[in-house]
Amino acid sequence: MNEDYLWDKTGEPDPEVERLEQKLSSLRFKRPAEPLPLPAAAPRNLFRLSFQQPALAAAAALVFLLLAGGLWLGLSRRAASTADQNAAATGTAPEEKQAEQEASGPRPPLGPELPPNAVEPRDERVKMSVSQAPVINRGPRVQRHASAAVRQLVVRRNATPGQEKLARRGEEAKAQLIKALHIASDKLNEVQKKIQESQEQRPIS
Amino acid sequence: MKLAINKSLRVAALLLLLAAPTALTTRAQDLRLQLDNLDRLEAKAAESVNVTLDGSILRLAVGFLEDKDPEERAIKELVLGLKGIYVKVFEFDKEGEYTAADVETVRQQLRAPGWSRMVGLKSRKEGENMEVYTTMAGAQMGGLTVLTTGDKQLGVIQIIGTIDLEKLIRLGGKLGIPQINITREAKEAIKESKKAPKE
Repeated sequence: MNEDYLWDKTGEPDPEVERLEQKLSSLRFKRPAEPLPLPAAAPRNLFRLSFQQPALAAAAALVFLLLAGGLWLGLSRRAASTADQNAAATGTAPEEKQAEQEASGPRPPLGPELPPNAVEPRDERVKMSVSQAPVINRGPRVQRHASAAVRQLVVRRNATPGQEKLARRGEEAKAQLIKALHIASDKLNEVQKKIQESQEQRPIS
Repeated sequence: MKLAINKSLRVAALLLLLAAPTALTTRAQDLRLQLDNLDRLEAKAAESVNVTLDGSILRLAVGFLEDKDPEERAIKELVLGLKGIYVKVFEFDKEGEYTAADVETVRQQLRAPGWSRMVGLKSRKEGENMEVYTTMAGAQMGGLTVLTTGDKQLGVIQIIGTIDLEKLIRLGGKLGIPQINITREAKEAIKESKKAPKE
């Protein structure tokens, strides 16, 4: 049997194969090959498809924002905690001593010693800023609650220096917040008082 | 054509959505007054208070306020809508330690669109001026600035965020200072001033 003939009709034909070819020739497929049918509308790009509707676009944007926000928040928290731990690691000993004292007894003042409830003395030079954060003019009640918040964190045996530092920062921020609101409220009261005074002193016609 | 318009609208909506949080942050930053030029007065001042509380520090402070305490709860309620509190108050031993230009830089910023002067008080006798500026966020107050100037003092108090002015004024009596009964005090002052000429 000549294999070339079977493969591509070259070479010497095999009589048996020829005979079979002739017998089956009537069944031979004569029409030309039809073109490959393609779908009427080609599938669109996935990105374009997903943004066809405004609702989808809005949802996608929202998800993106949430993810980005979460990532940013996570990274900033990690950075803050690392910074706290580093800062605490450099000066742990005095802070730990202070924390122990705080847990056992009254807390030493962070700022200059002032009598409780006293309005700041005019001759004393007092400067406040977030970085320095000395706390002044705190009433005993404010001091008690601020200390309680710190105590909650430092009394726990497993409180890390970073947590202690955070608690202290929180206490300072709270004292500053109260101080700022105190000043704002004081000034607004003064404004209100002056307005009322001017209204009452106005002659009634 | 219709397709192009739809597409543009979609893109615009998407951009708006993305830009909204940025715009809100930018607005809060825009409202904040630049008071760095006043920092040099700290060296001259007999007393100075410089408080900057915003962002994470403000949230940290709020976290330390006790809900059990009615006063602190009141502060917490007041502060929850706030974005920042900035206070710079200087008291001097003698007059002329700050210049009119120092005050003008603050006033100039308060002339920007959005801010409006709510109160302006001048006291020749006491030599003290007080101005209250506000900005609105929709129907609510979105920011407040109190500018006080006197012969020996200068103060700028700025609160950014949704503020309940009534609550803030009421806090005066709760933070260790006695609440001022304005009407009573004013009446007494008038009575005394009437008595004085007779004596």
